[in-house]
Amino acid sequence: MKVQSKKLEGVVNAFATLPGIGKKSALRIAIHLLADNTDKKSIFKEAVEALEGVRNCSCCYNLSDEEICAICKDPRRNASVVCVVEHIQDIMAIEETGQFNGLYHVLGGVISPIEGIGPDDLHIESLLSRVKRGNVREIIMAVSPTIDGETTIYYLSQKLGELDVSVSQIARGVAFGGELQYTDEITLGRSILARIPYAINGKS
Amino acid sequence: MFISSIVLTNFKSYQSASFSFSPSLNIIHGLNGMGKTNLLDAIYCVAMTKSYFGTSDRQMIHDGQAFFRLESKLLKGDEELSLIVKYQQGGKKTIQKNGNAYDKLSEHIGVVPVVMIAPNDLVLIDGLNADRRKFVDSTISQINHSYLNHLVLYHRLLKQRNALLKRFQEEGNFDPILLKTYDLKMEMPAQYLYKVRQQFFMEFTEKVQQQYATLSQRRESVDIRYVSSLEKGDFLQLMQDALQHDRYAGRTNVGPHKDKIECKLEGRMAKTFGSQGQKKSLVFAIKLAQYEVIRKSMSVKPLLLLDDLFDKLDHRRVDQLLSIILKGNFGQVFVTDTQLDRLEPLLMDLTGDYVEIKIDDLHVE
Repeated sequence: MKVQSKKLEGVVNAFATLPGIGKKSALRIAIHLLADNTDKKSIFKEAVEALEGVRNCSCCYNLSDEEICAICKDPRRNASVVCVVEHIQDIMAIEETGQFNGLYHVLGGVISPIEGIGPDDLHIESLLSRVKRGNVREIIMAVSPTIDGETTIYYLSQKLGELDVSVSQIARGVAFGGELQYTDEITLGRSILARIPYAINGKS
Repeated sequence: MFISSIVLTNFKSYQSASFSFSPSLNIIHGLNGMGKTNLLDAIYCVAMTKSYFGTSDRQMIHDGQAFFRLESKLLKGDEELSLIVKYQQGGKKTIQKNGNAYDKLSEHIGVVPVVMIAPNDLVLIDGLNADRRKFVDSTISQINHSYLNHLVLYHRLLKQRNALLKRFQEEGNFDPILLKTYDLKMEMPAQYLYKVRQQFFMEFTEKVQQQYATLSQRRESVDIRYVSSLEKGDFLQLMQDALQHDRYAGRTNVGPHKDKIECKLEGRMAKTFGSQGQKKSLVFAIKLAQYEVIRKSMSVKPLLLLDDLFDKLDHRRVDQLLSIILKGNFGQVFVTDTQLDRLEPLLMDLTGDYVEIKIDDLHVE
């Protein structure tokens, strides 16, 4: 599609670099903004500029407007339990469950030498020093159950094994509301091996 | 089990063609370059999700087109199967079974067991250990799904470990804990592959020997031996022992990916000492043994695809092979040949029904 204005084309190309936005959507947005005579453009401009102020929490690498994020600062949260996740979005997903009251640590990915990602490219050293500082008693690994995710967990638990902390991993198994016959064999096999005692009224 | 029909669209030399098959014998004849082998490869692709000859998905698309599609109907016991293989340039190849696409193509392996014999199979004797491992892996994968999963897992970890060793080399550093992590993760699949391959050969070698004895009608002894570095001890210890070598070479030097398969005739390497005729007989024996192993463990007769089997053979050998095929306890069989006349006298004696498929330039009968 040929755009007759070089300036407009620049805007379209910029939008099209965003995830989920193709050339056509980018053009639609650009023309919409062009035709708009409210203050939408300046709201956008300010909003995008404000992104400059968003940074990573210096403790857990979650997103934050300040040095330390709201979760790390919250005195009601249990600072002795740290949940290790790959990405910031994982924190949002776990927070949605309302089941976790501890703190987080964002690795920023998983170890994959093929992609050139080693332990030094992830926030592993800072996790170890958090534990070494002393008040962490349990680490919960909430990393994707992929081959590289499992390798990363394995590596981390070897590193943490030298320290005084217990390591656990989130359970893997049949999805709630799912039907057994449609569950893949690896998941089903694992859930049988890692079965849990049946609890009546919460008591086992 | 048998394939009753296939429709090819933009597949290799075919733009559009459809074929119906006999549940027993199918003779595909026509001149060179008309597409006999490509038709067999299409059937193989429906069964094994890829070309027998290592042709890439892209190269399987007919010249100047953007996609290929194979649509086939099969009957497995009472169950009707509709299988569609689709590939669009730049996209992902998909396989639909009865209208549902698989998440992973590997899940399809074993649904349609198949054995193919083609002229380039001599690589099983003359080629590298990698060629023989590929044959063994593809055979076991058809009968044991868990094997394929372990194979994929092992190779994924191996690739990561090799990339890591390369990285250590380039950056001049070393992280023993991270390397050890890969060793520990690889141990389970490595031991599994070793154990299953070992079990496989216990049965397979004997079957090859039986087949070779009937085929060659000679007294020479044949032996197929599986040699693995894992025989020498515990996987982790072997990895530990090879550490300096691995770091120096920048890749992993022990493990199931280095397993050897030796074919011997009269105690000597078939690759070096076998005659062309002996090698051909050995390949045929290996393939018939493969057929037997798959048939026995799956209780299903695999499709048997024979490409240009009679090429360069004298009349006596053609007769012998044909009688094995016709009298043997096979299910659906496909045979390609350039000359129908040499097959016809033998087919006259045949009691069962068969289908002749003539392939030429302009039309398909």
